[in-house]
Amino acid sequence: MIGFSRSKWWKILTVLLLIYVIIGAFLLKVPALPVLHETIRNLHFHVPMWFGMYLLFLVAAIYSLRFLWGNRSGRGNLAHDLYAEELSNVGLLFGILGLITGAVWARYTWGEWWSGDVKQNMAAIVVLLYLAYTVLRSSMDDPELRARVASVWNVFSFVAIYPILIVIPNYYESMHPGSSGNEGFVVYDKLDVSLRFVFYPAVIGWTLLGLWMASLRIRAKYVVMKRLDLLS
Amino acid sequence: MKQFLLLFSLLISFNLWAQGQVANGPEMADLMYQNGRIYVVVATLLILMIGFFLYLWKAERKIGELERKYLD
Repeated sequence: MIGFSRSKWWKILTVLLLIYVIIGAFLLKVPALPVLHETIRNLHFHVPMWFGMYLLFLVAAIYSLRFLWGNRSGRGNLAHDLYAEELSNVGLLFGILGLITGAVWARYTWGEWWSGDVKQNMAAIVVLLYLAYTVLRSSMDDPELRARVASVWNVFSFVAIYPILIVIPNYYESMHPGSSGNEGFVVYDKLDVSLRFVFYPAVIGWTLLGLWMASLRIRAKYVVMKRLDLLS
Repeated sequence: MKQFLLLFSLLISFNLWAQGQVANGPEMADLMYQNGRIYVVVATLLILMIGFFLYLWKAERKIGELERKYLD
């Protein structure tokens, strides 16, 4: 992770992808959809926040698992806990930005900032799960204990995301694409494939940007932890 | 600092670009006026993102210095 954090190629890729995404998202032709109109372009900004959040949380959960795995026999590697912490922080930021941009988008398409739509409510619950993670961490001073408890919580939170955000909304009427009564991505496919040429690079680009942000804090804290002799 | 000067000169050059359009005069670089002036928004967002990237890049270098000083 630290080695990958220091290498430059993927940061250059991030910059190139996002510059392409901004130009493409604004200037390429989009399908003329009822209600959505030009706001369909939000697909390249709002939706990647959630994809990015999920991917960042996934990597965070993997590092929490690795910490717990190492902890079975002797001491777990506190660096793994550090990676999980900072990746979760950026994932949380993405989630909060997703909620806010979603509310703005909803205001001008569904009519209200927050209409209590099942997708909105469930997204808020996921964000709360990870807010709880940061509160839980700040409640403990002992790095070993904190790492153990926080890692368990982190793995639990990640496993909970899929049922909360994907499964439950499918049982309810929702205005959000991808839920029941709303075909989501399939609708876009039929109308215009060109959205995908921007959307997929957007998901990769925004996720890499999150990774970059996390990696900076990881490296800064890593130096401190190394100096404090917390790392083996 | 050098990057911010570059960014500043970029901002100024956009201004000059816009002045290419003179009423009833020869139509020059009018790209920025087309399609409801959407390109102006694109330019703004690009400048913002480039600014953020420069910030990240600088943080990157500062942390790199810390690592060389305390880790290697």
